[in-house]
Amino acid sequence: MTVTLDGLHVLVARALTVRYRRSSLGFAWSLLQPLMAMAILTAVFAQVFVSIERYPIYVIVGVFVWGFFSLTLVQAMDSLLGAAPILRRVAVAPALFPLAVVAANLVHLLLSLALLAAVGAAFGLVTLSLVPAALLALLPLGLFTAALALVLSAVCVFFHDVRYFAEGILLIGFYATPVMYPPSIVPERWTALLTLNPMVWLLAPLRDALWAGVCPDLSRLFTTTLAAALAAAAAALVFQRLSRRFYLYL
Amino acid sequence: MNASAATAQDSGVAASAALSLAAGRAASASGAAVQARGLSVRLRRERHRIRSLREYFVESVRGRRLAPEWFEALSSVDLQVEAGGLLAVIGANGAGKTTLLRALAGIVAPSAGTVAIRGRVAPLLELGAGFDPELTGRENVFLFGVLLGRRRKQLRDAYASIVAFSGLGDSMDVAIKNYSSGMVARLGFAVATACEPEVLLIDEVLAVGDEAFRAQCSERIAGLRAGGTAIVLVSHDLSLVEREADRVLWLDGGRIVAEGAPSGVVARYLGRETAR
Repeated sequence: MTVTLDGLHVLVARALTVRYRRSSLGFAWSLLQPLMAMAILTAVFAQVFVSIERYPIYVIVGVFVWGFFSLTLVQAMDSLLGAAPILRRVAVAPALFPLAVVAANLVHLLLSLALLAAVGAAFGLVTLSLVPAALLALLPLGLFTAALALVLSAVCVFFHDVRYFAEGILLIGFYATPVMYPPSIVPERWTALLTLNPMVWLLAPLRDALWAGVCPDLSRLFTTTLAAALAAAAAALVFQRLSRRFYLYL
Repeated sequence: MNASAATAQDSGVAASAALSLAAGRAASASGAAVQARGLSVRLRRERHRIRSLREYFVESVRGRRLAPEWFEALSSVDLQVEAGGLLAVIGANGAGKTTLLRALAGIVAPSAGTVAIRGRVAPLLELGAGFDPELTGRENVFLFGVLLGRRRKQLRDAYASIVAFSGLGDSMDVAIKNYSSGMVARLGFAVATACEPEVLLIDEVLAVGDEAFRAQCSERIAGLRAGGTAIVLVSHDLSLVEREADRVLWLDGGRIVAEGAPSGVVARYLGRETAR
């Protein structure tokens, strides 16, 4: 049971078609929610965090990245249960479904960030020469999200309520990650927690490139990518083990 | 072995998937398209199944045994279908017919025995499963076709004939949610039988649709069989079984009660059913 490119292709096409077709404005409509989040957060916090230059850009990068991460995991947790009618009857690789969720959301994130880069560059707020670095920084983010998506989707086959626990943890994660605030306001005794939060590591290089206008530390980016790749490999093994018993539950 | 390995490789997901999933799978030595030897499948009983983490903890703390109850959904089933043959499987609800198809498709691992499939398996799902209601007919052809193990290119090549068979030429760009159930059945059957699978598994799908659709399906089935496709058909429609099958397998409680020529087995089955 192998994950084929054709399989990913049709499932990603389906996810994006359904997502953008639901509204007449398509992709533009899907940006409304993050843009509103940006507007609200800017209105509320731009005065609080005056130290952050170009606060709207700072916050929208965070909102896009966090939105990608949490929406992917929530959708992934439904992906296998939603595909149950197919998985019951067709010998198709179950990993296709969570992985397609990751890929579709990654495409959406890419489009969102590309639009941000284009608009930002037009106003002189984003340095276009750093866009390749931002693309590089998407790699560990995608790998790490895929790792969690695989494990969580598989566990949800056995325990449906894991979804609710995970959603709670994601809510905590939103506040534990510097999406709307600068890492510098975190008190000294809590900074260890920031170091332990993978999303801090994954978000930082994207902010470097798209907001701060500096090239991310490439050796650190490499280490992060390696760690994310190891997590993804371990997750693939766990998924493989768990998927052998899916037929009893789906 | 070589033949089987080769077909598995170039036939893409379905066959290779089937081969890797079930440890008990082997190439059929006799040249039959489908062969099962001593096939048994154990499944869990539904009585008390823990589906949430909360329940799991509560039950563990209470010290209740969480060991699942198992039962034999299939016990030592032997069957064989030659290329071009059609085996019909009959039996009461819960007799193990669908489990048999799932084991043949490689979705359920046998607890004992072997399944050998030569070539590519196309399972025919319950109506519309595998289709996304939000997508158009055209998009669903590719979605469903790829999930069944075809390549996108194969589907592009077969697209015209799929549309022709389904008779939905004008509706291919309309979302499936606006289709009638008959239209969905036509399209599903057209996709599953496109690209001439070596083995076709049909579970009770032909009961839907009007007379014209059934006639069309019969014709397509005859065409596939002439081309060497082996078919395993599960159905409660005994007249269809007598008309189409060349062998009939009667299952009850996961065991074979009788196997043989259609008229004899169907007559015995009817006798038993009315005697109850």
